[in-house]
Amino acid sequence: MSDHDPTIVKEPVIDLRSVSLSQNVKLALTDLFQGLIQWRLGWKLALLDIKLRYRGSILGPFWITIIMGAKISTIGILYAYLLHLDLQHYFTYVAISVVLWTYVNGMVNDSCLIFTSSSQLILSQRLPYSIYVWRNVFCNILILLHNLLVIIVVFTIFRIVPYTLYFLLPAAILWLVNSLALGIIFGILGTRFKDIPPIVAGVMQSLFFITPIIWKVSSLHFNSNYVLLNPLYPLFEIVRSPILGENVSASIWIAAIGYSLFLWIAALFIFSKTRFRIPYWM
Amino acid sequence: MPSITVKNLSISFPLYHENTRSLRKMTHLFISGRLRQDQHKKILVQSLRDINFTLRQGDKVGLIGQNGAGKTTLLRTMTGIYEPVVGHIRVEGSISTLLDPNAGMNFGLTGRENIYLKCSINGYSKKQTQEIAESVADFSELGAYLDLPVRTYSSGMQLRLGFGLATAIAPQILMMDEWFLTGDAGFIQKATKRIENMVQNSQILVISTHSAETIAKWCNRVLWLDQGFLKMDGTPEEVLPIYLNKPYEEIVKKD
Repeated sequence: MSDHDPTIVKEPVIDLRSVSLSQNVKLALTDLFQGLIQWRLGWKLALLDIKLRYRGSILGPFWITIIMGAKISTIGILYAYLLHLDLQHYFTYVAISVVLWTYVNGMVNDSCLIFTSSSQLILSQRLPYSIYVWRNVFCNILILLHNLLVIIVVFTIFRIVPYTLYFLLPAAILWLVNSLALGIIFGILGTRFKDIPPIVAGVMQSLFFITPIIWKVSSLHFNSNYVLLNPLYPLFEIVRSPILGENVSASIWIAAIGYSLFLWIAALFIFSKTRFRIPYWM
Repeated sequence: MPSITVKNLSISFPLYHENTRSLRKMTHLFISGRLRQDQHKKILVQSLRDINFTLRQGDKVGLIGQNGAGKTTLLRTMTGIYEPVVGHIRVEGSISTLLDPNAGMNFGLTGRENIYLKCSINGYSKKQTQEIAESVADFSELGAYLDLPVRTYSSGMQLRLGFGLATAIAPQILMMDEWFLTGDAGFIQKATKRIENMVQNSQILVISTHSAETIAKWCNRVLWLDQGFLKMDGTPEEVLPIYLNKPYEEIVKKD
């Protein structure tokens, strides 16, 4: 439908051949770059996913908020009472932790199905694979935004003002970047190995109890530095502490950045090696 | 100028879940020589084997061969979906594929939403999207149904929507599967008219089909795939008589 002179318009070219690993890394980076340029498409697909899931329901996506509110109230009140903790302090801690956890859990579990659930589109059109990863990230961010309402309500009830928000920006960027890496890794593993989704669900179940989410590190009887071995702990801490006004030691930021770097190296390696294989596994 | 160059192309699919496949199928593949093991002892099914050809402007190609000969795989490879592990493929020009009328169609969304979705997947501008929406509404004759979810459509209505959407824009290179020849007589007539328009405007056409009539009408070149090999490459007059094992006059006359 373009009325331009075809000699002026640069024609799109697809040039594909078997290439070495270093060139594959370049192709993987190109894919990520193109996905970034076309982020609007990922956003649109994610919006439709959420819209579709709640179409016809009266409260729509606000069911997400209500369920989260019920969950946090139950955990917050029950454990504050059982463990003789200060209700206000524990409740706010749990509210933030559980909302963050729900994001991580949804992100990782949904990641396993990123490519499989879009197989029809993948097999009918050449698109950057990172678009499907963005779609999943945006979808989970939309859910996170609904859950943030609960935190706002909790803070209003207890009349708490977030201590500082400056550190939240770098933390949010780190979380976003890691979400993409997780999506790539689990997306590919979940497509290639059909056993990955249930294994991941099981591991995430255990991680919920191992990670300081409904309990605090200060309640440990042993050297709390061991907790740093859990990659989720520093990443939770860099978001939680600034809001609650607790000090974040440099080691926590170093661990958070270190784990993120490691995650990205793994993601890039897997993506470079297997990106072109994704449609073959459908 | 649009062109497609395929050199030493081989496509093989690794079989990871082979124990779930039926023994009969495995035996059949083994006997036909399409199963082999690579250096990692993985079992591979060879879909395309050492294919070479070049398509230039004006080539209207009919892709023939039995079911499972590798026609769809070749179409998908030329679209850039399967990236070759062995060989080289270069495609110049804008491509449109009509492989599956429901491709990218979301059944929970309304017809109109699906049109907009498809347009944003293809990266069309607002103005183009508007034009496409009108053209599809016009072709599909869905009327008020366009604002109902696609899952409420009859299969004929789904086909009209999918077909109208896929054929709204004429690309330089058009690749299609023969699914469009399904439907009632009225639809086929309407669809053929729309396709003919597209075929004339496209500079390269690749169509996978079983129908000699379609080839005789639209194609000036035929690629015959057999068990993943390119068995023959020539004009319809050369290839069809050997493929169908009867004189060309009889093939054209009968249809």
